[in-house]
Amino acid sequence: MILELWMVGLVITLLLLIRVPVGLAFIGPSLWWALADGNSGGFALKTAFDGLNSFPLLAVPLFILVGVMANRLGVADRLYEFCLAALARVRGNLAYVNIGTAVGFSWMSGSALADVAGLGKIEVPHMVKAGYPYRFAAGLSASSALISPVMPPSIPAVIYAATATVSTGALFAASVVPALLMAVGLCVYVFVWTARRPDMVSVPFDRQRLRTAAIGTIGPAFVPVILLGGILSGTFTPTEAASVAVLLMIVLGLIYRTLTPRVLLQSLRETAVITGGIGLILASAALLGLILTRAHVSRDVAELVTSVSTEPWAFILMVNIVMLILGTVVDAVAAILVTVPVLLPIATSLGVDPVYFGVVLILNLMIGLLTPPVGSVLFVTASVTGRPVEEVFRGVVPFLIPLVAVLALISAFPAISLWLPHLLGF
Amino acid sequence: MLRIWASAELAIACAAVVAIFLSVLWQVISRYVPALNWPEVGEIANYSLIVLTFIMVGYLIGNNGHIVIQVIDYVAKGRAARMAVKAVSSACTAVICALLAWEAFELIQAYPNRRTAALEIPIWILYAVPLLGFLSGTVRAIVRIFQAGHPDPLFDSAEAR
Amino acid sequence: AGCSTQDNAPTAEGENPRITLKIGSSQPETQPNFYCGMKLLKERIEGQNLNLTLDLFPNSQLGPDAERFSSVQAGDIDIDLQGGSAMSTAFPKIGVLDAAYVFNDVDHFFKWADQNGQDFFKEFNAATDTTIVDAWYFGMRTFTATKPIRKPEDLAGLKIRFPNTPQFLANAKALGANAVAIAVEELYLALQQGVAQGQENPVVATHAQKFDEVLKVASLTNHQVGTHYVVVSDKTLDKMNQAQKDGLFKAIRDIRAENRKCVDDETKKVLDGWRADSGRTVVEIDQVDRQAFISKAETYFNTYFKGADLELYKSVRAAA
Ligand code: NA
Ligand code: NA
Repeated sequence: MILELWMVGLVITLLLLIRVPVGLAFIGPSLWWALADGNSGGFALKTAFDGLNSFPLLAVPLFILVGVMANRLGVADRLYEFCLAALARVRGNLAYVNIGTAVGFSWMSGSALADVAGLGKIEVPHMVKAGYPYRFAAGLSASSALISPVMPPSIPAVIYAATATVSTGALFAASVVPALLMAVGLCVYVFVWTARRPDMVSVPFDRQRLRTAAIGTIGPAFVPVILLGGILSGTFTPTEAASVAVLLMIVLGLIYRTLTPRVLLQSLRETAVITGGIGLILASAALLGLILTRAHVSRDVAELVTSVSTEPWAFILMVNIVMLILGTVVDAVAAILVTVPVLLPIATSLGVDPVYFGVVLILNLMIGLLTPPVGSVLFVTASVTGRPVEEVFRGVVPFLIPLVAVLALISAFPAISLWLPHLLGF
Repeated sequence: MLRIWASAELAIACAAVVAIFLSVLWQVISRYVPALNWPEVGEIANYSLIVLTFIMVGYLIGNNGHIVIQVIDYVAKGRAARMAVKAVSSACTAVICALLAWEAFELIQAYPNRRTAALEIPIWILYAVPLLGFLSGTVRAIVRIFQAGHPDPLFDSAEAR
Repeated sequence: AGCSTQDNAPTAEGENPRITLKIGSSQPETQPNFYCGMKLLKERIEGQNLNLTLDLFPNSQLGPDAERFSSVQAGDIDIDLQGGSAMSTAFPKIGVLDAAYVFNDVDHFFKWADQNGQDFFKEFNAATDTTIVDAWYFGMRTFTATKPIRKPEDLAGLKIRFPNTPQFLANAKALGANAVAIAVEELYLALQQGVAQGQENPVVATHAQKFDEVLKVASLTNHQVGTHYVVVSDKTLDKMNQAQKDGLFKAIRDIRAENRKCVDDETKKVLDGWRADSGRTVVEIDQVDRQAFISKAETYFNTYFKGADLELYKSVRAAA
């Protein structure tokens, strides 16, 4: 071989460091390697092109569209109002409202960014006005946004399922309990925090307000029912469920009279732009993945890993450490696409369930969204609240404790993820 | 000129989103209304995602909208350093895009007769989309080299136009 | 491009280049076409002093069928195991050989391939720049569903998953089945949830992909001879010397019979397991109204195929 594979890795890293778009940084050196390896001119692009030709991946733009529309059609506001009315008298209510709204919205959104961009903009100023420190408010909003990409629908889950060729439905089912545990973990932290703050006042409870708010969430409540119910009853496949969820959003928008042609057009534009960005990474990672396969990298990594230990728990521990580090610097989608073809065969050979492995992988990478230097949730939170990134991160740090604790729990007990898919017969 | 070109790219991408939505929905409905059964819709959906991705390459380069890793911002603080990074980065981007445009051209020539399985669309028509996308990306990246002195405005996908 | 070992542009006299051949397939390592096919080929070739090494990529590691075939055309994959319909995007006529009941059984297929196939494979070579060396048996395609299928009428009211290519969908119509197109990644779940009530695949593949966990009735309609053509890129052949080509071609052809026995044994093993299971039904070959299926398919394809395709179809049927 003319060109060693580690040189490809080196050049990719250099290109990434000088801000070349991730997708192009992957393709460039891979293309060069493929040509040097004697492949036809066109090999690189053809592989990238074919990598996008996958039915399960169609759920990506559709779930992005659902999340974008839920924001623009006022669905997020309705959920917030409902949680506010329901949790009026609880001490530290705005903090719990923040988590509750995140859980509700997580059923409609597949990525963390839609969450912070939409909800963070409303919640952080509200909390600050009510006397919460900015760092606490921003840290909590950023952390609770991570529930979205874990709870179904989840874009990382769709991408993992397509890469690992496991059932998207099974991965969705396996993610429900871990997502709820994240919410519980955050609530515990909030409880401990407010216990030392008797000054965190609550507002009077208003029955009428709660009733109105509850009626306002009837429509959005159909989204999880249709998504999971439809998938589990066999009415449609997970990819198809995404299109039905879009249809439901259109119906809600018509009922609420918030769906104007302008809103629709802007939703489409936002979806196109986000999908275009993810799509190029999907395509380029298909090329990089094929090159790693052709060079039997998985076999070599497997030898390395199993020389350390052949215990599944040791492997999962290694994966956790590597992925947490990788997650701080690499985009989550790219990390899934590049690591799954290498790590999954090892996981399977050690008897690790691929669905459980997916949940662990995704959770690891999502935590990386909160950490510098590369943490998109951090940047968006800072940008929508108009404060420096460093300050948001200082706010996030304490919330990493419950999140990493949940990750440890889920890693240690595969049953937490797997009992629901098993119960449902996946 | 680039503005009009960009809105054309975005319009095609939006049409692709609509096509994906309608074709996947069609597939659901046709399972319950067999008269509407038309297996080719699956292919429309898949190729729409491909068209969307490749047609947006240039647009996203031009608007600083691609997913990038921002570590360098912590190192390169001064104006000159940032300018140098942006120029080198854009030059690399231009080279990669140009290579990919060349590969697209190679593919168009390599498969003159191959057609897609269901709709029997000549495959070279589909390879023309990445050709356009990467040519557009090359032009955009070259333009960015000359704009290296100006800092990039933050790209907001919600305000994409 | 050359179409047989003799008329290829020869590598310089006396040259014995060291070549590593990448061979791809959709078959997982648990399947006969891997352990009695690709793996056997690797042992045989590397056992000789040919300066050839085989690098095996089973389990669609190099991509889905149609994409892999276009890589063979480009020379980026050297050898691949391909069904006819995936190659029909490059050479539509080969789809005819995947028509339901065009071959009555495996013997009919190999008899045709040996006697009349040569012209056909030459034509294929001219159109695709790839050489079909031989075909390896893969199993008879057969229905597994929620209900027994003994005659064409039994298919009414069942939604059966067929692969999403024109020839397979035509087969559905020819047999009188309601085809649903479902991506293979989502098929297990779709069967489990009743989105489809059946699917068609060779017995070994149905078992390997665990579809028999959901579908308890197998009907041995044997409506299509499943074969994988062993197809070699002409770009690769141009790099090889005569001894290497001869050795490769001979090894591939020698494996045909062993591989077939392997598939038959494995099929029998799976079927015996099903037969012994009281929760399952196996509708045996003689319990299927084959004649009704064959004449229904023939009537359909005699109007479906046109021109050269129809000619090919008729000539194969005539040799039945
Ligand atoms: Na979600
Ligand atoms: Na990070």
